Amino acid sequence: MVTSAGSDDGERTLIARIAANDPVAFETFYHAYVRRAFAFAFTLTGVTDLAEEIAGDTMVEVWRSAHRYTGRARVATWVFAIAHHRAIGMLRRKHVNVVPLDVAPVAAVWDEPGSDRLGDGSAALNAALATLSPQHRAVLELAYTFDCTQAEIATIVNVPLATVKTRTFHAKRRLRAALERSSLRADAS
Amino acid sequence: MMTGDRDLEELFRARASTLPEPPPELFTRTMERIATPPRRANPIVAYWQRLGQRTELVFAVTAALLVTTFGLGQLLHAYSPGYGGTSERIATIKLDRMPTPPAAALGTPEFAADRDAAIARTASIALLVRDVPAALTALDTVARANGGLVTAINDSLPTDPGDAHTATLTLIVDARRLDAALTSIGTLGAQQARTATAQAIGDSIVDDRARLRNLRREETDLLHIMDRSGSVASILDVESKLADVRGEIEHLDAEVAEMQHRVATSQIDVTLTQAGLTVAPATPTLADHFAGTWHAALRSVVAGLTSILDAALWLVAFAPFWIVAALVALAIVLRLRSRF
Repeated sequence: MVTSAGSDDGERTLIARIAANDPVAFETFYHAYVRRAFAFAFTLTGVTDLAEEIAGDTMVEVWRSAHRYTGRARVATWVFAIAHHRAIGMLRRKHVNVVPLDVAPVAAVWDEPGSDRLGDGSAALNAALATLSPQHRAVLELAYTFDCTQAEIATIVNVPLATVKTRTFHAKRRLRAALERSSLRADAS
Repeated sequence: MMTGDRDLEELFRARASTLPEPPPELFTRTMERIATPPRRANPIVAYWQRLGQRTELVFAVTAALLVTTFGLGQLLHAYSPGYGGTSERIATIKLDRMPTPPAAALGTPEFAADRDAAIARTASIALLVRDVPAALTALDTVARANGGLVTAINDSLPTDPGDAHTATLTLIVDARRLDAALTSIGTLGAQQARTATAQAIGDSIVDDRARLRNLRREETDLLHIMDRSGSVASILDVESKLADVRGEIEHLDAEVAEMQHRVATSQIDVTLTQAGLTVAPATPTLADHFAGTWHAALRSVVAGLTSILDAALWLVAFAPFWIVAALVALAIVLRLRSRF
């Protein structure tokens, strides 16, 4: 799991210091969160350049909007919400679509240079995730990769809790179907 | 193939360690970005750019505005009295602002040529007086003093001791002295109500005069034809037409004269009621009470329904405004919801 090492109280203190324009606090916060923001953006877009841009934008937005953080949600939830908003907006603006697995090789979507070191299971999972919509992918990634609760996911993607549950159900069903197809293809070859 | 929840968790856990890391230079770039103050984008331009990405929304809103505006215009055109193009304009004007026809023009044959001056003015006044017979005598004096006379009286003497003595009169006065006459009448008692109307009939008079001129030319032409020799049948035919034309001329002459009279004189309707009587209210029966309640309830229902319909029409009429306001409010709510 890609989870935080710091306590939430400590992170809230960091946010308060960032709101007071403390660059040292921001640097600490950056190193604590940029990996998760980048990983989340990458899981949504599948493109490292876009993930880099989104992670950078997210960090800059944290710096600019720290004074608006009210503390109603966890700091991690807040950061994921910013990253999700940026990622969805960027996908919409740039008309970036995930290329279906059937018509393109996995490497075209998951262009991580070190993808050759992925095991078969991870490669199959990436390929199956690439067949899902960004909305379905987001709920699964947040739940399984980033260990968020469903209530937190609802806050991050800005939809009701019931919608998150429905999306999770359908996303898992489609993911399993894609994994099954991938398995059958592997057996046939 | 693994498909259970636990299997999925295992798959995601195994993959998490393979996710790429952010490049180190991202930190440098981010620190540079936060060090430079953000350029404040023009909010209107930014909003317009965002709106440009949602062309379907722009088209829908524009179409809704156009349809609503067009529909509203059609409704106004169909139902507003001012759009009907009626030939007569009727207006209730305050007495002190009512225009008076030029004195020099009144009584001359061409006075109606001035369309703005051809205004038929009438008034009505209700007075509470102590002595109705005395007020009747005074009103006759007022009418004569202002170049007119009393044309109708309806004097209702009281039959029961509790009834008030009432009378209604119709006065004709010189139009130029209408205001003075009303002032004099107003001093005879306590005024209960006072109204005045002015009707522009200049267009009608001019139209009738034009038709009269044409008919007189036609009459002259027919007389010339009569002078020529011809068969008896043709002479009878021309005579018949001549009679029709002369009948129409007389009718129009009378109509023009009547309109000139309406402009030159003004009619005042006066209602007199004897003051100082206190009438004991009748004791309502139980049936009257329930009937009154029923009618009051019905009136309330009608008034309520009318109010709802009125509100609906107002909503429709102001649709272009509140739709835009609602869209703006929706955009603000969505924007706020995307933050914490």
